[in-house]
Amino acid sequence: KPIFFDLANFHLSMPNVEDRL
Amino acid sequence: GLYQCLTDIARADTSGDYQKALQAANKLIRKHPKETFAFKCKLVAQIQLSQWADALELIRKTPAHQMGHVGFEKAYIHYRQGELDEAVNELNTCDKDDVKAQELKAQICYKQENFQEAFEIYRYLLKNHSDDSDELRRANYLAVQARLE
Ligand SMILES: [K+]
Repeated sequence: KPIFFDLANFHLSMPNVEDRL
Repeated sequence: GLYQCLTDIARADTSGDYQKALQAANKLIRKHPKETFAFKCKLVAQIQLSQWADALELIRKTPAHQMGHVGFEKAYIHYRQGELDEAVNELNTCDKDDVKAQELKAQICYKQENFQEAFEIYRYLLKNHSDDSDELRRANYLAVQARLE
């Protein structure tokens, strides 16, 4: 069975602080 | 000041210390309640800490103009609790080009053995979007394709 990666977990990220500063 | 709070959050996020990120976000909200940035950070920290009820309560209590769009985050909370149909309902309200939302939907379709829909979502994303995850996304696309054959 091929490997399936949990990309949704990668996407759970905070907003970029650079955008705020 | 504000700058210190923001860098504290960013640093805790980078190191994966979500307890610390949550504290820093709470401090920022207390001191600068008009800062919209902190609410999404607090939400992500609570999700990373598996504080599902608190995260849903935060979404419920925070006005939309302060929190921003949280379709993906709301769906992810359902997804992590095994509420796949609720997660998909939430994701169906998200834009077709909301990559995070579409990627979570494809992942749920895969888990539900709805390989045809997962395949179509990955094909669309690979054609119309590119980022650091392209290689892993392509692997998922091939995994889904293999299950269709
Ligand atoms: K993550």
